[in-house]
Amino acid sequence: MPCCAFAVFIVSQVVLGYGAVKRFLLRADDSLDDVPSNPATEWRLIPGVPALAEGSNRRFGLCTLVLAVSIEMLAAAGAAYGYHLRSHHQHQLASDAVARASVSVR
Amino acid sequence: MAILSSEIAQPLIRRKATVGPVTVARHRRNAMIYAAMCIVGLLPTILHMSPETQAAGLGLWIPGGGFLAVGGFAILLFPLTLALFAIAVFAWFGAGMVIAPIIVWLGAAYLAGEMAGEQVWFLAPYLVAGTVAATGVYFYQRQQARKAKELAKLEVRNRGIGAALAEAIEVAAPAPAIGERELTPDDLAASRYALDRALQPIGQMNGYDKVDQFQTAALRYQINHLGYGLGMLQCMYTPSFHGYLSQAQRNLIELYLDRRIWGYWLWESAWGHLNLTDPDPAGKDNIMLTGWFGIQLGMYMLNTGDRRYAAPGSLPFRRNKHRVFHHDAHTIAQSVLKNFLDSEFCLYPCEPNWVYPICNHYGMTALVIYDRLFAAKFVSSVLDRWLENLDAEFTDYSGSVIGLRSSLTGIRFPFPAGDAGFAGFENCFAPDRAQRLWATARQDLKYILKADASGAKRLSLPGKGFDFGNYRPGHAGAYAMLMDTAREFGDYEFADAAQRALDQDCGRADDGGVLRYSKGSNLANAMAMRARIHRRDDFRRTITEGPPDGSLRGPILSDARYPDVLVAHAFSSGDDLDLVLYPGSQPGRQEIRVERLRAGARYVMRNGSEHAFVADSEGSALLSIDLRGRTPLHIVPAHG
Repeated sequence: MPCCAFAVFIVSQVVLGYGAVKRFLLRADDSLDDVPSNPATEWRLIPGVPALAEGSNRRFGLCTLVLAVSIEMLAAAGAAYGYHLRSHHQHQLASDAVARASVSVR
Repeated sequence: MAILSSEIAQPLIRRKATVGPVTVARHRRNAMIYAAMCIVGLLPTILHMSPETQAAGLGLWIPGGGFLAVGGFAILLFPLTLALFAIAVFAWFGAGMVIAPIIVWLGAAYLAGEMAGEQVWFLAPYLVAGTVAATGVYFYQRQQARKAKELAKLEVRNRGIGAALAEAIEVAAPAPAIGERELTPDDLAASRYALDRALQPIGQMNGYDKVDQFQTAALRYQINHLGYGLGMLQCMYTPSFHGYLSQAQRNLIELYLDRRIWGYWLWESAWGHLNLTDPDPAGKDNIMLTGWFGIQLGMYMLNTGDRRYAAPGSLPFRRNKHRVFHHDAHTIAQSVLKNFLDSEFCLYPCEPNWVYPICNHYGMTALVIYDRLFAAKFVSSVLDRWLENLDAEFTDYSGSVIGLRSSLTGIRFPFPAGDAGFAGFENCFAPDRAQRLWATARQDLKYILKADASGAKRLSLPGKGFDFGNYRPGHAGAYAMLMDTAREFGDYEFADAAQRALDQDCGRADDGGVLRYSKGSNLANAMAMRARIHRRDDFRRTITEGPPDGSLRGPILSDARYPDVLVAHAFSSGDDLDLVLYPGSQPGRQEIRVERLRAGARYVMRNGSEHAFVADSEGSALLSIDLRGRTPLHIVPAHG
């Protein structure tokens, strides 16, 4: 169990990391002509014109953060639970060994 | 064409050593620490200690190596740990998270020890040793290949440096006379891009790219570059216009104090310096703030004569209601100087432990403008050592400045850098070196100078590019940077080719009286605006000289409505005020205020006809003018 929890932890890091890298660095799957326009450049300081709504990037970022935190919490809880189980198992083995030793002494 | 002799040009590319003494010392320390880890890690195996200890020990050889000792499915954790380690190194690089790789490496070793069963997998020690050896061989070969490539490049450069220098000098246009400069309608439209963003209420950040606050897309760099563009515009074209142009620069400076802009340092200080109690943004390291911001402050103060940011505590970096880091122009510059003096490399880190030479160029430039403002001698106290270390520790085998190096380990991290990017800064404090850098960069970049469909020259960078201002594809930032540098060195043919590339490839739009590049980031647009108005030596003169004396003491245009009144030219020779104005929207009458006139004196405003007026007791006058297209005005004292 601890190794599974650790694996989940690592995989979550890798997946999230890859997602971040893909999103921020490797968005090169389109030709130069298709480079998207940047909405930030459209903004004008003209009285009466409302400010641009917060971009979807921010909402997307918030969702990603919530998802990442959830996975981290699950992974951490899993690791803690696994560690607890392993400790309990080792303790059980040690108790069994002591019990067997006691029997053999007799 | 005159060719410089190789005796003159050859020493311009010089390397005292292939790796500097501080870097060598860091590498030696790395080797000793790693050797100690390997010895400690191997002892449990040699001494047949418990399986847990053996697994943890092998984990010290390589991140995740201990999982091989655990055996079974745990072996799969080895490559996963390596991947996680790579991510941790990226976090270390990207946000100064020094503890991340250490935690992953030692944490994996500890976990492997915890997971070990009754015996270790017998092949594990051999696999770990083999992997370490293979990794070492791979990196050694890669380093040798890079070295060979760079040395070959040096050979080519040394053969051509004489001709390259001669050509760069020959094609360079002379610096224009400063008092005659005037913005074109396109220049004014481009400047409105920066003014729109700077003149919004302090705290609002409409029109900025908001991605992350650690790396190159951070808001702080966007603010800095908007400030540099407006500062250079004021110094070179409109030093006698304050009004909304000065207000815009102050807004940017005061926006910079917002915790959202500099708060990244609270995190970096914690996980990079392990400092939770005193994360002063202008304390240890962080030249990406002090160096960049110092230039912005200096430009504003040198242009306007306004010294408000030199007052003690005038720049409060407010962490919360209980904790404020009080700074001012002096403490910002002193932080740069102190860090230069304290650092073994002389150059010092941005993020904890990562030294970026480009940010250190900003830092040295900030000291140049500080010295000019306050008659200090900061630059002369450190420049020689700084340049020696730049050559010895931060220059590769080809003679190019490297992107960055870890001050902790001496490791050079692959990060794109180009000689052109450094040249403009060095023009402020080492102009001969700057000329060599530009000549070299220009020679290296000739291959991207091509003809467009109409036969006119344009730059054509390969690939889809990468915009550092928003991490999206695009060449806008690169074209703007090259155009800016080419103009600084008077190479207008190259600069015009860059301008053409920007216009053709980067989504030029002129809607609403504002010129912008819709496919570029806000950072790229700010740089493009400055590049457009840039002429020979403008940056150097803005930093080392400032506006002409007449404009610093003579009458100023102190108030005009934005964007109704656009100012293309504003100079004074001491007594007069020479203006060229444009209507920003509709032609018609506008009011402007002129100050620093002689109190109660009679003046004449010439604009085709003559209109006499008297300055009030404060030395100011409110004037009504009819703006129709280009409108020149000349205000002079009335005689008799």
